[in-house]
Amino acid sequence: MSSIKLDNLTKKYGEIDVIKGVNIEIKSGEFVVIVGPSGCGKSTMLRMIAGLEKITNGNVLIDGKVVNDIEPAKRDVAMVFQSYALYPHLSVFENIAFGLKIAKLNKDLIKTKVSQVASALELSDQLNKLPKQLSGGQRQRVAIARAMVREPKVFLFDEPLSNLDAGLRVNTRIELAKLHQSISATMVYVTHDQVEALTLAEKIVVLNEGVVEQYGTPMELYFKPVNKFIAGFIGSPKMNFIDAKVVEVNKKGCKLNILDKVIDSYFSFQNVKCDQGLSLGIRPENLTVVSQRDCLFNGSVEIIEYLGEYNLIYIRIPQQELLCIKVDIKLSFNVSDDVCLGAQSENIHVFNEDGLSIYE
Amino acid sequence: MFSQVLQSILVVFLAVTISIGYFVAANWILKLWGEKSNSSLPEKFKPWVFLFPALFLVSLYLIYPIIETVRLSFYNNSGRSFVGLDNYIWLLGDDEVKVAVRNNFMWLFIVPTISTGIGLVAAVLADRVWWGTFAKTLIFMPMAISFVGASVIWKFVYDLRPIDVDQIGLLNAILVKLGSEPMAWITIPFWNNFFLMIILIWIQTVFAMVILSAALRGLSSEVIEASRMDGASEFQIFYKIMIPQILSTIMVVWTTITIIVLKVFDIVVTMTNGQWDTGVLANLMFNWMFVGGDFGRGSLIALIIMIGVIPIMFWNIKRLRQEELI
Ligand SMILES: Nc1ncnc2c1ncn2[C@@H]1O[C@H](COP(=O)(O)OP(=O)(O)OP(=O)(O)O)[C@@H](O)[C@H]1O
Ligand SMILES: [Mg+2]
Repeated sequence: MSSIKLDNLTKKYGEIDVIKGVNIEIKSGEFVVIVGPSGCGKSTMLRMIAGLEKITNGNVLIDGKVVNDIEPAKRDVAMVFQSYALYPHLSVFENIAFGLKIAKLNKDLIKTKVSQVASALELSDQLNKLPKQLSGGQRQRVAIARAMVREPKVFLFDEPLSNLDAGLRVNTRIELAKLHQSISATMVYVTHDQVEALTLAEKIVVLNEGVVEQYGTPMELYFKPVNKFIAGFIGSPKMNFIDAKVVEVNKKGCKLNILDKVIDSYFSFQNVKCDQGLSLGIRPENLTVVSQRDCLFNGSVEIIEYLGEYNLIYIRIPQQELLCIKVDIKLSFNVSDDVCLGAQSENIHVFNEDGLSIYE
Repeated sequence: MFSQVLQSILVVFLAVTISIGYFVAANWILKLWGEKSNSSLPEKFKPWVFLFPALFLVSLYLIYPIIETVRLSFYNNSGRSFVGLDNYIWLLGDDEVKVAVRNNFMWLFIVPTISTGIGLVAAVLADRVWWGTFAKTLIFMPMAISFVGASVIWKFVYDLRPIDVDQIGLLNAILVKLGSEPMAWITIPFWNNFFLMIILIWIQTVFAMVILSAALRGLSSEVIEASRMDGASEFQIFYKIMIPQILSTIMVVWTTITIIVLKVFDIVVTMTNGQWDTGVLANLMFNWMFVGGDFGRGSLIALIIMIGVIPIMFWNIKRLRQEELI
């Protein structure tokens, strides 16, 4: 168990800024997930923590100690690679034992440790096989076993589940969550799958083009996204955005013009100016079909997706992107039906022209 | 000149025409036969019809000479009268043959090992320094030089001039600069073999480096990083992670060079012509067969070389098969 601190961490490849001054503190024993679109620098950041990538500027601190110039092995961190990176010429046992042998541990001790880890990950029957004789899921577990056996203070995972099929991914995800509960080591986990992020993380770092957009708990990110990028990135299907304009501000709140229609009721937020353009964000599960009285705007049904548990309906509204709403399967719709849409005002996220959130 | 070019074009044209003609005609006849007899026999016959030209040529140029060589080894120098085991008895007692066999073994062991070893180290190191590509290009040069050409170059390195004139040989020039006497390098018994081997090592190291460099590039960088995370030092990464993964390529390089060494001939001819105990079997064979005109002994030495090659070939093919299985 140990804490990690990234202090103004910067990485340049030649002239290209890949990580642009990241400041993050990870508490001891925390499970932190780094998410972000492809190419945003997640792997680079993880590799800098591991010590595999040189740091251009700033510091990586582990347990309060700057480790910039400390070799990977001496940082007491273990990494699980996306490609598993098993030693192809060594048996599963040798793969797991490699680091211990390098550290010149006593033979019997190595055996006990390896067999303990192997039985915890259900690999006991595979110890004599070569990596190529294993299935993808088994290889994944060997990679995790190899990291676990060294009992590091910090685990780093770089998209460890991305090569697995959907079913196995869910299983391994649960295994990882259990693992974290049982060994309570600090874990940093990179993924671009937000379901993984939301389910595994105690805290999520959302990275975009080398900048941390938001760092917080899954709940915070979901319910209080600091900007439009986070709002659109977290949650599936994506949040809907609708343009609006402030027409009146007074003690009761403000009145908005949404799609050329002034809404009668007041919205509770006040730190806006008259005539200011806004973007309203409403998640598909919060946007509902309502009666004419509560109508914020209307449109026509364009596509219906049946997903079993619920249906997704895409609605065409003039001059806007298609809106997506999640509806109960009992409600039936037909293509080109006209519908009125509305939402509870506490479920409406408001963003200013710069894409930053406005809260009451 | 012009007529020669014309002639070769004609030959190429004829060869292609005959090949195509054979194919078309064979197909046509087989088809006719198939339609008439209505049996599956023509189908079974087909592969053999198409294999025949290749089998025929291989037997003509490979099998027949082997049989003829074996026969000649029991005959006298003119190849006319049968002498029984006389040539074999001579072979066992001859000092020159013994030296040649010893030299061959030394070449076989030293050249492939050192070439592969240096090539491997060069391949690893060249990938880590910024001037690696430049270094590789430089090392690559000898590959473009023939064995004879390389020997001529090295003749200048070992060159010896009378003591009162300037030494143009590199080694002797250095010796003289350092204040010693110049030496006749290629006549120093036993060690002169190594001076000859250096030439082939110089050439083959390049080959080894190029192939091994490609193999190293194929290794996953994540695997190497994983071993670094596991605490392996650079040296441990080299011999515990990299070498085992490219072991099969190393063996390919090693055996390829071994086979080249078995054929070594031109370097010895150019440098010493087998004098001062530097002869190898190929060299000895050439001298007996074509200089001495003794077909019996020449053939016998040829046979010995062939027998020497067989185990290596056999092992090579077996290993290749195994690789295909994996
Ligand atoms: N060795 C390198 N030289 C130059 N640029 C690099 C190098 N490695 C990575 N980059 C660049 O750095 C950026 C971040 O790469 P990184 O691998 O960290 O992305 P990522 O967030 O892990 O993406 P993904 O989700 O696709 O794995 C990319 O734009 C990439 O092109
Ligand atoms: Mg990545």
